[in-house]
Amino acid sequence: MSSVIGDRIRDLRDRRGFKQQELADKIGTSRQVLSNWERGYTPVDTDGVLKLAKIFEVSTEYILHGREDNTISPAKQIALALEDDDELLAFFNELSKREDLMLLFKQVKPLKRDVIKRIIKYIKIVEDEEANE
Amino acid sequence: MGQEFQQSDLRDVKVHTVTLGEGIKGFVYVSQRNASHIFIEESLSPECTAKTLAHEIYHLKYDKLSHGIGLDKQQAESEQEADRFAANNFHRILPLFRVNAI
Repeated sequence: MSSVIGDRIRDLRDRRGFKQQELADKIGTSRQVLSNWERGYTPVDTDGVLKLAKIFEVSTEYILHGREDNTISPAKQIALALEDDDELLAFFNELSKREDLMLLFKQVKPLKRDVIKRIIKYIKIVEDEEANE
Repeated sequence: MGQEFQQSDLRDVKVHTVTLGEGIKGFVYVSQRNASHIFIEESLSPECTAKTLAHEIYHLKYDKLSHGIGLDKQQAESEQEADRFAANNFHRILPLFRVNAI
């Protein structure tokens, strides 16, 4: 049995790079309960929806119904993926101020944290090299 | 419609084949010095590489509205246009790879 709410939870968890146990700890529940939500075996309770929305910085509406306009912005998504790397985060914050910024992805599914990091690293290499030319 | 890929489209574009990872085939980035860079996942087949390259070239050449950062379905319409361009033009790009591979 699959569940769209469960799929969204797993999707958000993947994007942030959390293991089930890590996310369960943040919510204050067990890994088994979270696993049951993700697989649609048991419905997510109200408290769970509120906590998930807070942790992922999305609306409860997004968790429940998946309305796209309530998802976090791409820039925010990238910044979140870089939160444990001060140098890359500072670089990206400067980059995202550019009014002529053009950065477009050909993607087939939501990007994981390590993929986003790699992308920003490549961009930094390009900028560093051009600055030294 | 009607846009056609020319070899000269690639003249000022730097193409990098790199490890990107799961879920992404490529991306396009225009640097602060206004240099165009296309990054392509290195594990793609030649056909898929050519299609992805054509898709990104569309963004660079024709897609003037797409400044900013595009993830997911943020730019759905221009993504579809880029895919159409890629489907119509990848066969023009594919031979370039075969030449380079020799």
